Amino acid sequence: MSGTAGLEGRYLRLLALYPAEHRRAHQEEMLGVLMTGARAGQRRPGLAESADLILGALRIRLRPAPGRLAGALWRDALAVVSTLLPLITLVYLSVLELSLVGEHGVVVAVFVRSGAERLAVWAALTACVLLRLRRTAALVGAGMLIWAAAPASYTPGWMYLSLTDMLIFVTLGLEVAALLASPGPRRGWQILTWPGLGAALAVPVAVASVINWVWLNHPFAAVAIAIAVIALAMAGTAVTSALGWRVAAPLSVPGFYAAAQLLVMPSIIGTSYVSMPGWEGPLRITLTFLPVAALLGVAVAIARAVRAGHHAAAASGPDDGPVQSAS
Amino acid sequence: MNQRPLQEPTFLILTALAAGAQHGYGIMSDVGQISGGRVKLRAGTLYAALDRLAAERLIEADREEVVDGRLRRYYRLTGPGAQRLATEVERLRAQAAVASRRLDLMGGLA
Repeated sequence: MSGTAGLEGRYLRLLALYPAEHRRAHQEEMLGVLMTGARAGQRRPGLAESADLILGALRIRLRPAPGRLAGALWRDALAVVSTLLPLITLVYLSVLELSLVGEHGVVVAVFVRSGAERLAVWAALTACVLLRLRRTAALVGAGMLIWAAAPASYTPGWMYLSLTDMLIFVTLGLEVAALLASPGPRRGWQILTWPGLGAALAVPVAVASVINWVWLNHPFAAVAIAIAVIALAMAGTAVTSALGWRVAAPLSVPGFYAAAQLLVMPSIIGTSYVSMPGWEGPLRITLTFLPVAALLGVAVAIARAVRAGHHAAAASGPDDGPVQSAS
Repeated sequence: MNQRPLQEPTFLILTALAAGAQHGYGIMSDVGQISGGRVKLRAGTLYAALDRLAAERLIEADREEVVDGRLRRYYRLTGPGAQRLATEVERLRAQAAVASRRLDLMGGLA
């Protein structure tokens, strides 16, 4: 008897890998099939059977959601991104500014190239998001992007584009794009929970605190902690749900630059601020443009998938309804 | 129309259901029989296939019953499901006929 209960419990643990919706509909039924197929006295699921259940769960999880559902999920995810991004940035910059009152303040302030006016415009963008003003927020964001990008347009070449510049550009670019492509903060605030918001804001507080108060004495430990926090936050968000990975995917681009700028010292004129041979030149250029190359790859893949989707829709006839792109 | 050939487990599941509604374990046993014991369908593969076939509306749930305290859900072929299986059978038959004719020809020449 205890053998049967043990086997059932072990099957249930494997079935827990399936999506909640699938479990609700099929768990009892699948357990019935598994227990009927079990040998007399069997105590554990076989290796091949376990692998098959794990692969089955993976196959169901990776199956693309029906076109319309996936489109709605992406719009919701971008609404969350448009709501979170200004708050995360404002909190990050505010905590960095706190170091100005510390004894190493001036050095740190130069390192992060932060300023009061930057803080003020991010505060303005945050206010728009809090007031759920989507179009105003998009206008403010676009204005900030032009203002931030103008100096870069007359620098002598791409060589001099620092990772910090790129972090600012992609953060503003993503914010404006997310505001335009989604219902914006109005929807974002409906989806966000207080624990979710707290967890999201804990990340910039942690990273900025480490830069402020650990970096000067333990630079390598500080960089390692900050990058680990960013990576864990991304991975943690990605595995939560179908919405979670769609929120984490666009945020991973500014996340990459936030991490990379800690590895490569920001430089205004193309030379390293702190002398670290090897960090300038090809490595810095590779790190700067890696996400751009990755995004191009993703764009090509999406374009091919959309074309394949159109072909499939045309082949399967009118009964299947329109196939929408997930982007 | 220009449909992709069915994969073997899918073909065998639809064939099993062509005889009438069956529950999960019944489909697994039947698939084993149809394939002469060559294809052994496991629960993970079966339910991933059932999930996809139901999403494509080729099969649907028929009824449920409880046997020995365990839930059994029966599945049946839908109209489009039967049509899809018939198309596949026709495709296989046409290919087999060509292969057979050519083998006969070869036998005639030898």
